[in-house]
Formats: sequence, C-alpha cells, structure tokens
Amino acid sequence: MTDTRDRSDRPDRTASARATLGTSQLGASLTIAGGVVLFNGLWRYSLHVTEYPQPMLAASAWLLLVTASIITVLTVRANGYRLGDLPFTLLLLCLGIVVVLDLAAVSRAGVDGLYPTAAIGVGGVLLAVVTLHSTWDVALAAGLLGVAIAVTFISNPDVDTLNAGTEVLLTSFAVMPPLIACIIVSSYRRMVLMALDRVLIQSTVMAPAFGVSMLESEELASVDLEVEQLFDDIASGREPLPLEPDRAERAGELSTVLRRHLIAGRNYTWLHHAIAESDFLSVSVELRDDQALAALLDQRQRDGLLSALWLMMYGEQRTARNAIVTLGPSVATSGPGSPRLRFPIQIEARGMRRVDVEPATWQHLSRAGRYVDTTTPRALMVVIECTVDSPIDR
Amino acid sequence: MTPSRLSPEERDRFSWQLARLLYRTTRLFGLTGTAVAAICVSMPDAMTLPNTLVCLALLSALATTQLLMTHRPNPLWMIFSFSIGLCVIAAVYMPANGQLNVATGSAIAAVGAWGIGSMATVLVSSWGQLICLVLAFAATVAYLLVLSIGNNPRTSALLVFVLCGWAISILFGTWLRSSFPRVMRRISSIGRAHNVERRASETEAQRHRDARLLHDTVLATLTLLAHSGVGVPDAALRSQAESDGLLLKRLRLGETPQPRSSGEYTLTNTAELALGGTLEALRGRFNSMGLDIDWHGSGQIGLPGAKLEAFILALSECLENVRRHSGVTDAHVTLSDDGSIVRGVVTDAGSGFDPATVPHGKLGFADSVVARVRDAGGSVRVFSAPSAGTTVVLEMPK
Repeated sequence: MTDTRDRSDRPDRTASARATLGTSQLGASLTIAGGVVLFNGLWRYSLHVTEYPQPMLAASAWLLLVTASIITVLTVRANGYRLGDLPFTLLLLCLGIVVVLDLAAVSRAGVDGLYPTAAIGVGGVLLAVVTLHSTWDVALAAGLLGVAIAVTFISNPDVDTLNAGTEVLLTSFAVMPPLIACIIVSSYRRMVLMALDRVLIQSTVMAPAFGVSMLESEELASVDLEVEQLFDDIASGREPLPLEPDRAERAGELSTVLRRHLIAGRNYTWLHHAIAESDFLSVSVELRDDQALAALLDQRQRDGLLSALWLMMYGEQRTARNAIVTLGPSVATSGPGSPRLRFPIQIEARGMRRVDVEPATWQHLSRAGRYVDTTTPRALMVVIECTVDSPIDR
Repeated sequence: MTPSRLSPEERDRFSWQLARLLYRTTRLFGLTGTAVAAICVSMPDAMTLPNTLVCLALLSALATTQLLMTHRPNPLWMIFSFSIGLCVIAAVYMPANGQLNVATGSAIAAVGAWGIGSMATVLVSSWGQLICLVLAFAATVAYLLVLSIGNNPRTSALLVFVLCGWAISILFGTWLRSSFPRVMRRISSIGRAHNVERRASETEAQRHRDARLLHDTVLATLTLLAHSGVGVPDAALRSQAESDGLLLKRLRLGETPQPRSSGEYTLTNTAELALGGTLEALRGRFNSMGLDIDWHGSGQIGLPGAKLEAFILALSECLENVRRHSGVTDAHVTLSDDGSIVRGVVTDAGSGFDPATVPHGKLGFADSVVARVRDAGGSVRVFSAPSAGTTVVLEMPK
C-alpha cells in the first residue's frame, strides 16, 4: 500500500501555519539580551572614549552600529517581525564595517587596556536577530566575528601578556551568546514543528477507516469547475462548434481525470493518509498493508498505534530512523461470542535499540494490542497482536 | 485522547523537552564561563603555580557539577554547583589579597557571570525560583564586594559584567518559558482547525461521489466534446452543455443534484422505474446523434438498483463506441434474462478492430465498460476482428 504519488503531491498545507508559528514574535527577550551586550560595550566605550588616538574611528563605528540597530528594529516591526534576506545582508554589511572600524581603532592605538567595544556590541545585534532569520546564517556571522576579533588580538601582541585573559573573555562575550542562541532556537523550532506535525496527523484517528486524502477532493472540485467553465463557453456560443483540436484534447483529458476520480474509490486507509500527510513519518515509515487491515482498528487502537509509531521515529538524536510497518496476515479466531479477526502488526525499526525507545511508547503500544519486542543487531522488532471485530459481522 | 489536541501526556512530553532545552542553555553558558576562567587563570604570571592548580581543580569540579546538574536536575546539585563557583572566586581572590590583575579579574568575571550566573535560566518558572534567583544574585554581588578589599579599580567593571551575564541568562529563560505556552496553544488551535478541515473535505468528497449520476452525464458530454462534437447537431450539444454546466454549478454551490433527465436522455438509478422508459430514452438519445438502435428481447430486466445502473451505463458506453468508431449507423441490442443472469449483447456490422491491438492504457473502454460491470459483479466479453463487426457481451448475475 505504499504509494509514491501521495508523497510527491503532499500539499504544503502546513507552510502557512508554520510561518505564523515562527519564533520571531516571541523573540523580545532575546532582543533585550542583545541590548544588554550592546550597552555593556557602550558603557566600556564611554569609560575610554578619551584614550583613543584616532577617536573618529571608534566613534563612527558606534554611530553606524547604533543607526543600523535602530533601522533594523524599525524595519522588523514594520515587516511583521520578519527579516528578509536583503535587509539581513545589508545589516551584516553594516556590522562588517563596524567591526573593521572598531578593530582598526583598537589595533592602531598600540596601548594596552583599550579593547574593542563596538565589535563586541555586534555580537549583541546578532543575538537579537537569531529568532528572525535562519540560525545557520547567524551562527556563521558570529563565527566570522569571533575569527576577526581573535585575529586582531593575535596580530597585535600585548605588552602585558595577562591582557590576553580579558581578550578571551570579551571574545566569548561577543560570540557565545549568539552561538548558544542559535543552538537553542534551532532545537526549539524543531520541537515546535514536531508538535505541529503530531497534532495535524492526529485528526486521522477520527477519520473514516477508508478516506480520501484531503488533496483528492480538492482536485475533483477543480476538475468539476473547469468542466463547468468549458460547458458554459459552449452553451453561450463563445466556443465554436466543432471544437478546436486543443480544446477537444483538453476535454478528453478532463474526462480521463474525472473517470479516474470516480473509479478510484477509497483504497487507502486512515493509516496510509496519516503517514503520507506527515512531513516527518512520510520519509521514515514504509507501510505494507495489502489487505487494508488498518481500517479494522478501533479508535483506541488507532491512537495507540499512531502515537507509538510517532514516538519511535522521533528521537532526540538526529540520526536517521526508519521503520517498516507490516499488517497481517489475518486469521479468524474461533471461540464463543461474535466472530473476531486476529492479525499481527509488525514494526521493524531499523537503527534502533530498545533503550532508544521512550517509555511512553510502550503504553501506547499496549493500547493497540498485546505486543512482543525483540532486538536484533540491526533493528528493533515489535509485533503487536491485534484483535478486531470481524468485518463480516458488521 | 481528544482528537486534534495535545493530550496531557503529549503536553507533558513537550514541557519535558522544554525543560531539557532550558537546562541545555544553562549547561552551554556554564561550561563557556568555566572554560574562559580556566584559560584566564592558566596565563603565565597570572597566579602562582600552586594557586593555579588549586583553581583548575576547583574549576573542573565546577564543570562536573554543571554537567550533573543539567543532566539529572536536582536542587542539591545546583546548590553544590553554586557553592563550588563561590569557592573558585575565593580561591582567586584570597591569595592575591583582594587585588586582582587583568587575567584573574577576567576569570572572576567569567565565573560570576556565566559559571554560576547561567543557573538563572532555569530559575524563572515559579515565584519560589525567582526568590532563589534574587537571593543567589544578591549573594554573589555581596560576596564579590566583600572579597575585593580596598580600592580596587576593577570591581565596578567586574560587577557590570556579572550583572550582564545574569541578565542574559534570565532573558534566555523567560524567552523559552513565555513562548512555550503560546506556541502550544497556537498548535492546539491549528490542530482543531485541521480536524474541521478534514471533516469538511471528507463530506465534500462524499458529496461529489454521491453525484455519480451527474458525473456520468458530464462524462458522456465530455466524451462527445473530446471528438470535437463531430456528428452531433450543434444546437443539441449546446443545450446539453448548458444543462450539464448548470448541474455542475449547483453541485459546486452545495446542492447534490440528482438529474432525472439531462438534455435528451434520461438517467435514473431507481430500479422501480419502468425499464422500457430508460431504454427508450437511450434509443432517443442515440437517434439524435445519428445511430439507430434495434432492440431485441426482454423489455424487463430484473436487476437491483446499483447493478441496473452499471448495466445500463455500460450498455450506453458500448453504443457510444459503436457510434464513434464503427462507421455504421445502426446497432443491435439483445437483452435476455434467464432468471440468474441478465445478458446484453451489442452488435454492429461496422469496421471492427483487433481487441489485442487496443493499447492497454486506453481508458475509455476498460474503465467505462469493463471496470463498471466488474465492480457490480458482472463480466464483459468482446468479439471483434478488423472489418468483421463487433460484438460485446455484457453479463450481470442477479
């Protein structure tokens, strides 16, 4: 029952939802944290402002940094808390100039006790924009900033070697907050996407056993609309009869698509749709359910199976996990009461050990049925014994 | 579990993940501070060698407690870590008599700001934690002031640095804490909306499928159009298109039209209706398109509704094929009912074809006739050869 068509056609339904779920609007605290770094630099600059041999260099660096920060804040507010590629690139350009000016001011001074200030403040600006842009870009910029500051320090040996201590402290003060923020924000984003993915496929648990995918009915409606327009053109005489060859060909195509939809029927079970619609499960789970046995599971079993599958595939580590889920073959159980059907669901999770499985997974599995798990060197095998009401009896 | 919402377990799971994220932030900042301090005290001439070794030993103890504290969260580990951090500060201050040089000052700044200040990230979720946070910060500042004996020019810079470190940690913590519930609420509402959307989509799909009869008339008209409408009077085709377009519009606007008659032919899926009327309508329809049909045999077909519908529609598809491809203008239809099987034979004396050469992917006949009849439990056989006419036998068990 695996079907590649559904995967490639998977609607980008979550794209807009995800855009609004961005971490951006929630980043006010990190902006303030960036401000703290910035003001720390400004405060240290104010202490030493008279000691610069060429005061214009450092002063212009600070002027540019403050202006760029203010413009960025205004742009971001005006654009609905988003920082596009162009404004980000311009900001980086400004920050680059700031770093060059400030480091030049310090290295030209040739005296100890004068440290970069605006260049450290750049770290604060990077920290403030972590939530507004790709974390990779920000991390790269922070890395470059660290390299630039370190190179300046190394190329201007101090008279007193102890000053190196302050240099290390200042470099880490500029570079580490944005880098740590990048790590945390990317984990956070992944966590949110996973929660969203989970909540979106959860609705399949309530869906009919055999459903149409959400895309399919949309496609049928659009075909109907096109046919309606074609008929309208013919009825009103806008379209000459006999039809032009290309319109006739299109009519043939439409009838083919329409037939396919009407014949298609509900071949796919809720589980197939759940897996195909999940950005996350669709790449890691292969479903083998030729007899469409998933359709027979009741709601509690469905929920258990889907939750367990999802938890097994969602590891803390980013190592690739994948699983083959096989349903069947089924046998009729003999015994008193209504006829029932029994079949195994075998989950073969490659690249997993038993310790990698979260404890909650076992609870979910037991809701689907009695299970047995075995570990082979290459995979974890779970076999769930499901018992369902026989469909004949229904 | 409430569908489309995060269940309590799931919610717990994600709060647990959030806690991990908070502790991870603490760990990263804490280890950064410890590492910077270690570099600073290791500078040549920063301290005497024994003092340096003592400081390094304490710093490694600090790093260990930071790892323990963030992997196995426990208040005791936090207190322990905080105490070791203060010990490191004392170990730097004491031998120098409260007078710091540039390197040792930096080491204390690193430990004060991040080595212990990083704990602020995990201390922002409850009032009790906030009180602990304020006390810990005040204690750190007081401790630094007490230790820096005399007039030390570095103290103010040091305190500002420590303040900044704590502030950044607090802000990381509040950011994660405040955004999490909002995002979870948002996700829940997206889930609810999606569930509604899925149901609507399901209903919509069902409605379109229920309009099968309508789609059959649309398909018949489309098939005519696919051949440019050749052989059909323009006016008939236009009025057919108009009435079908109208039905599609009603479907689109939310109705489920069940066409009883569409243009020149009548459709029905009710078995009670006299079959004669249906067959008559079929004949009338093909007549208007230039194909004469001779009926033979039984006028009554005793089939249940769904099977009857499939049978009649397959029959009309066969006739459509004759009209389009055979090159003759009359066809014969023989109907028989032997009590268990209803048989319909469509024969023409037209050009014929070799059934083996019909491309497999050609949807027309396979889907419209064969699939339809098979779906209803019947069978189809085709007998034909080039220039020897064509006979199609439809069989439908009762």
